[in-house]
Amino acid sequence: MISPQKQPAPGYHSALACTIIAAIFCVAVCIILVVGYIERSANNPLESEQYAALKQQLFAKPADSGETNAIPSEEEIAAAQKRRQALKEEIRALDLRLRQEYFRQRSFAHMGGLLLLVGVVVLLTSARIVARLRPWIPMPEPSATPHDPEPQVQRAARWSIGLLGVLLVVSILVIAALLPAVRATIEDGVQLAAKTPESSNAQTTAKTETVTTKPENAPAAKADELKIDLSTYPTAEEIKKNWPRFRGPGGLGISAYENLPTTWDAVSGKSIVWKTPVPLPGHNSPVVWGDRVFLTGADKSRREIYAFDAKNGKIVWTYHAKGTPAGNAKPPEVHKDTGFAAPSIATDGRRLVAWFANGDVVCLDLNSKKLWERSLGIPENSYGHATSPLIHKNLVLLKFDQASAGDGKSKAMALDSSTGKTVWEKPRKVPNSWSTPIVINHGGREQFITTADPWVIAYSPTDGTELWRVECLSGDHGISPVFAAGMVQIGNEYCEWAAIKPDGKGDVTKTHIAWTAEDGLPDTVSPLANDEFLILMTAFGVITCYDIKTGKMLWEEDLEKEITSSPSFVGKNVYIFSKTKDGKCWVVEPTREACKRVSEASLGESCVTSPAFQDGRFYIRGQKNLFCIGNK
Amino acid sequence: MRHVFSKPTFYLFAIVLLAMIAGSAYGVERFPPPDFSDHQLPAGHTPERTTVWYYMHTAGVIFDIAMLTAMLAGATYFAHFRRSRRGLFVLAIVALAYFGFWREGCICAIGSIQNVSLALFDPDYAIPLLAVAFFVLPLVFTLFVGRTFCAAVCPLGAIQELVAVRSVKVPAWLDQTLGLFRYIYLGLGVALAATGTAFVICRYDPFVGFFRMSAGIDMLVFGGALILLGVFVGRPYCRYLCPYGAILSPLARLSKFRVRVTPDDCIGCRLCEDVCPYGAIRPPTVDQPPETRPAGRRRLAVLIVLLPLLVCGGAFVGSQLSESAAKLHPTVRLSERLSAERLGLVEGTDDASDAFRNTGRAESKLYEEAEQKRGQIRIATALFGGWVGLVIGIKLLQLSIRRRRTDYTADPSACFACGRCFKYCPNDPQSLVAFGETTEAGGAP
Repeated sequence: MISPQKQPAPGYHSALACTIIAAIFCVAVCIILVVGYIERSANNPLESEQYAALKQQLFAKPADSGETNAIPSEEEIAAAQKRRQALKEEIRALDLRLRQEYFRQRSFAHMGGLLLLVGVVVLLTSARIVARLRPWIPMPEPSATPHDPEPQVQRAARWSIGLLGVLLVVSILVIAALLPAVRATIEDGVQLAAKTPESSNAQTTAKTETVTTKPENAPAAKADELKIDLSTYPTAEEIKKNWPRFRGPGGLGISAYENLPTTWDAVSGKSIVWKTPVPLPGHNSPVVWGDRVFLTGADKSRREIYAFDAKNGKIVWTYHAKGTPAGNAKPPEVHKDTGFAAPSIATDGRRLVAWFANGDVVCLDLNSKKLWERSLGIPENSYGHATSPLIHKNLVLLKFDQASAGDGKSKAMALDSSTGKTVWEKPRKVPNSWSTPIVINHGGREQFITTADPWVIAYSPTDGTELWRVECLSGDHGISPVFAAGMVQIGNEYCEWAAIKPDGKGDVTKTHIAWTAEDGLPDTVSPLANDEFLILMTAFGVITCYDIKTGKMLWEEDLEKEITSSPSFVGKNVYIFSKTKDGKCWVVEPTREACKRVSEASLGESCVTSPAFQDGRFYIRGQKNLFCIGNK
Repeated sequence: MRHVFSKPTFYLFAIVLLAMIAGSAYGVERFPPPDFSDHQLPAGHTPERTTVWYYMHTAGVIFDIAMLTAMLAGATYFAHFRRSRRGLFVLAIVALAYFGFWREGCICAIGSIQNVSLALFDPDYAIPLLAVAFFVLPLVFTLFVGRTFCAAVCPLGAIQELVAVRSVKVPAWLDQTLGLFRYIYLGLGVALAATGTAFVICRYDPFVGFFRMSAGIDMLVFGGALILLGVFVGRPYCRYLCPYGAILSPLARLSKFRVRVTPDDCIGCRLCEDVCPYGAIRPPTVDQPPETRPAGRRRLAVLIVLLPLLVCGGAFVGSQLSESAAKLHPTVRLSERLSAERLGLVEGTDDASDAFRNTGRAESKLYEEAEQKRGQIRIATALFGGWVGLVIGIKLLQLSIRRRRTDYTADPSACFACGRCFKYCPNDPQSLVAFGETTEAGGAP
């Protein structure tokens, strides 16, 4: 027999001791490295609480940091700038300190790695010496003779391989079933590619709809072309029949038609005439002229304008706005609830004007031919630019509020709708705001009404002369005004609601506010008004109804859902769309006594935009789709 | 079998391996660039390929090929002529140092399978000479002298060889079953490489993270787990996962000169069987009773008939993977992303879609290309499924055929020519050194 183990040779114990010491050393270094790694992973310098707090403080708006909303003096502005500079220096110093500490830890880990490598080499060498000085020798057990395990092994292996085969089949089928197929989306692209071989930047659509795309400035197909006379302006009757801007004619949100359904359901398809996916996201609302529905969509790098065929929902053309050099300089910073395409298009039936989050204003004719394009500079807007443009006669009127009041960067301006050149421009001492202005005609005097913290200012649309102003707003302002019953209605949740008589001159704060109100003030949703009622709505779903003439509150109704879409009048009914995932909608009828619920409906997806009403149907943009709802 | 190292050594090895894993972990960290300063990130650039660079590169390639050839020759010499376990072990350390840590695990013969596959199916792909050499040379050597490449030249084998200190015997039926995964992995690797989808064999190389001291934490864990497993199960990657081993194994069966356990007549001492950590020593067979033969013949006939069905069924099942596999292809993935962005199924854009748009290429072309790739992947996955069916069928056939053996012999397809059995064979003069004064003349227990 062979001895299972020889007696250890001289030096065995020394080698064993060396091995044990090396092992302990390796384990210790290993533990230190692991702890260091976990610590570094958990303490990313840029996630330091102190660092984040300082950055938040730097980027906080003056209102958030406790500063007043009043127009600051030059001394206050200088002091604020000094504070910001000091804050920046503090952040830089902290950033440097955190990084230095981080890299010190890393170099410590690197040194540890090298030490570990040395330890491993020593350990391996000494371990092999140990093994050599006291080797183990094989000693097989006696076995039965003759002994041939092969038949049993083969039998077991056959069964085992059969089982493996079954497991493989099941696994593959499960993988194939669980992973969502890419086929559907890709096939859309292939289908599209086949239809638009000239496309320079392909588009995709849902399975049943078709997209056609023309390169920028390419002439429209004859069949789809609209006849346009750019030298004329639309009549009041034309404007009334169409939906030329955010919330329609006058920005009132009032439909000229009453023959519209009061119930619809996107899931069952009830009253859904068509729906079409909108290629790029956007929170702008549809505008309609004739047989065309217009929307914009944009993300960080792309900006597009879409024309949908109102009859069937096909995208007639897509305009890719490549952007101006200034607009492309850097992506604007926007809040996700605002996005890159919040402003709605404005049209006069001859041309349309789109305004994107990067400050680019694009004017096209209704066949997608670019008429002009210009950059107003990337807006300094804490949530992202959202104010929509509007077209008044030969002018594109813009309220471009940005930065803080003291920065002097906000302005109201009018561009020539034919050329895009500035006709007039007026500075505004207001901070960034998100409301869309309106043009009213009161007593034969046309007024361009703008709102921002703290002023409601009326300009002459033709030359920008300031007509009157009222100080009545406060805080972040995104409520668009309406003009009804001879009064401009405006307010938001951090101030009183004000009904303003628009016939004054100069600062008429003390003389022209007809009435004020405090209940149910909105934070996002614009008001709805007719000659009898003023309806306000909060984002958490409470409707408050006032007598528009006296300001007396008539009733409150709680819909108990989140709502950021502005309501609309269709006859006596009010159409309301919610932000809920299932797109819950309500049709209610306000009376002097109560809110009468007429019906409920469902859009099937979240909605933050406002509808555009036409004869027998209306258009509403959901989170993904543009819907046409009407009597089929 | 008996362990070849003492208990303390075994535990220490385990600890060291853990330490190696942890020590490499720091290499996976990436620190974000400053985002609140005017620090300008240096622009990337491709070094100009000068004449000097070209000569240096060519010299490097020639040197690598020369090293590979010399190492293969050296391994052959130690396995067949010197029958030296020590020589093979030292050579394995050299291979680990050079092909592993110095060349950072690239190029390697295992990964070269993918280069060759892609070159065969994509006429636009220019395969590097080095890849061809690393693919062909070990095959040629194996065809003549067995798996000496695995013995001491492959760095992946070498790192496992170093840690195989307390191997337990894997039941033979399980060993046979697990060995099939090599062929499945080979099929998958070839299918994905041939369609340009991915080089999965390289991507999931378990030890390259150690060689480069940098890897994702998942790969470090995978590699570390295999090394730890390798302490108890000899060369788990080589035996159950290595796709190149799947090619070498059948070639080794054909090899003209095979590694012999004993230089003389086998005396049936079973020491070699006991000492082999890879279960590669096959015992002599015993004739089965004649009454069992008809059943064996029937089984064989059924399996021969079943083989085409297994291939066809495998092809059908494999084709079900085509959509999932297509997701791995960069072109298909990009087109899917662009489509999803267009349809509003995802928010915003990602780097890949932004980069594509910056090229100014038409999306329609991309969709066409993606569709073409999907067609290729559909065929490749069906072929892969058929391959798996074929492998299973052949293995079942193999397990239904008995080969007669009279001695303890090394199975050439499973033997890594590591040389452990040499010094324990009583007929080998080295055994005197191994057993020392306690061994009686002749060494028979």
